Amino acid sequence: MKNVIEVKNLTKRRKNFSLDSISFEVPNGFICGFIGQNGAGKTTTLKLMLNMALRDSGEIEILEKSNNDISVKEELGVLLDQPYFQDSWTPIDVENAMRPFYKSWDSNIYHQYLQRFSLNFGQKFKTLSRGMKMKLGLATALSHNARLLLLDEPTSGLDPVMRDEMLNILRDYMAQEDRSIFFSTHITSDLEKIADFIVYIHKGQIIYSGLKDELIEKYCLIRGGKNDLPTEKRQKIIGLREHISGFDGMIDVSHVGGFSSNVVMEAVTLEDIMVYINKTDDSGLGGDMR
Amino acid sequence: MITKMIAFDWLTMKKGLAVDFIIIPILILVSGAFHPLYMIPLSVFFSFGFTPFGAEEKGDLHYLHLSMPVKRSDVVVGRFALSFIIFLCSLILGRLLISVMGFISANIGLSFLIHPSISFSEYLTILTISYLLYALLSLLVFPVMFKLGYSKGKHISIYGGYIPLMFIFVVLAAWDWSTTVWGRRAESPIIRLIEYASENLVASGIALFIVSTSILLLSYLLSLRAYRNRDF
Repeated sequence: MKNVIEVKNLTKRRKNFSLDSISFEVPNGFICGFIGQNGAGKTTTLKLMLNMALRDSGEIEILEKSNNDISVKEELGVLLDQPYFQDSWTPIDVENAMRPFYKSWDSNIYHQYLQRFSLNFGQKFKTLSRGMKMKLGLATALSHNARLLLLDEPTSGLDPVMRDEMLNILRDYMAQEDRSIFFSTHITSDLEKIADFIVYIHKGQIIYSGLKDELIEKYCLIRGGKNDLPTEKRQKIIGLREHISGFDGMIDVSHVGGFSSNVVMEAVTLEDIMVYINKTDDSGLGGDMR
Repeated sequence: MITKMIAFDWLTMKKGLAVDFIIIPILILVSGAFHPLYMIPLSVFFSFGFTPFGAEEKGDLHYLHLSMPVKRSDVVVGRFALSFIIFLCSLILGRLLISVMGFISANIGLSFLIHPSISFSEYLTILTISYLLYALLSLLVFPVMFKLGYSKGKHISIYGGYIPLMFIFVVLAAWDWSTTVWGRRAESPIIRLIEYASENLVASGIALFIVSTSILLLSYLLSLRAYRNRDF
């Protein structure tokens, strides 16, 4: 299986933050969620992939070419935290501005998306709501037959209905062969719905890169009474929280044996994993989850 | 690619600034206070008051450029090219204004108020001085804008570029005025320089052209380096 993204030993140091020799791969044909807290390094990684930020060291390959090769961007659909169009532009101006740079630009597809998204062809960008702006950005990203979509928090700030609609658009995009999405977000519920691969960045380090289901099946939530927590198990619980009536936390499923029958175990969500990993980190634990 | 970048930058500018573009020549026309020398500030005003950098204030174009199949050097070349085209257009516009005002002056009898007549040598002098001023401002403005962007760069350009330049002009003017007051006008280096230039028009024009082009080239190379190393 070929990879659409290969990042090797990527390092970037900034004043109060650094990406510390990160490596990960994203296989072709997947929707990959790039998760992590705010400030974990998601946007910096994306900017490095797009050559907006300049790396200190490491290699990045996108669609089997170095990201320094400008032709890669012909096959990329990019939508950052907002589409950086001019306020005075209408969707028609957007097309006039973007079309000359893409050999495979398809005006029919662009206009179909505008109609599907109920975007007025003559409406100025500044008068659009955030949701409509993001839709216009997505229409642009989808109109030149891109093989890979790079999206940075595309659903952030959208209401649930709009977010769901955005996810449907991404599902439709994936219906065609040889397409992939790399989707940075901290709204993990979106990824529960559509992602099948996860890259998890935490404080500038990749702590998981693999199938979403494997990550979710690796852990479970655990809670029990005061006397249900054996001393030897205390260290195994991620993000352990003890209170008057008992304890709760998250545990690797390989360590669930040895608890009393009073202990309750439940499936985790991506959000649970992020929350408990963060708690673990605060308590001085943590590490690579791969 | 250069033509694509010029078209792109033009699209970013033309909508927001279309009105600004025509206000100044209209004001000059209707005020009746026209002088051919106005071509110098007019051309430079258009070249630097009307750039895609200004459009950045309402949307960061760099993120858009760098998400597209565009090299950083293409962005720099495109902006320099568009700025130079605007400069040339404003020189042509200025020349047209001279003709229009000449016609008005001859037919309405306002020659006491406006001064539309201009010789070829005067016109050549205006062109070369405009070019020099354009190149100097390009050196002061473009590398800073490419390094820092419009919102940060404009303050540095104003306080580090325009104001020192104006200060130098004021000092030179004051010095020249003082030499005149003290009755040694003929000894003023500026006057001597102007006299030399007017007597050796072709030589001084070529010299100014070479100096201006060198300054513009330096501005371009510095801008290219600044933008290649800019970390977003």
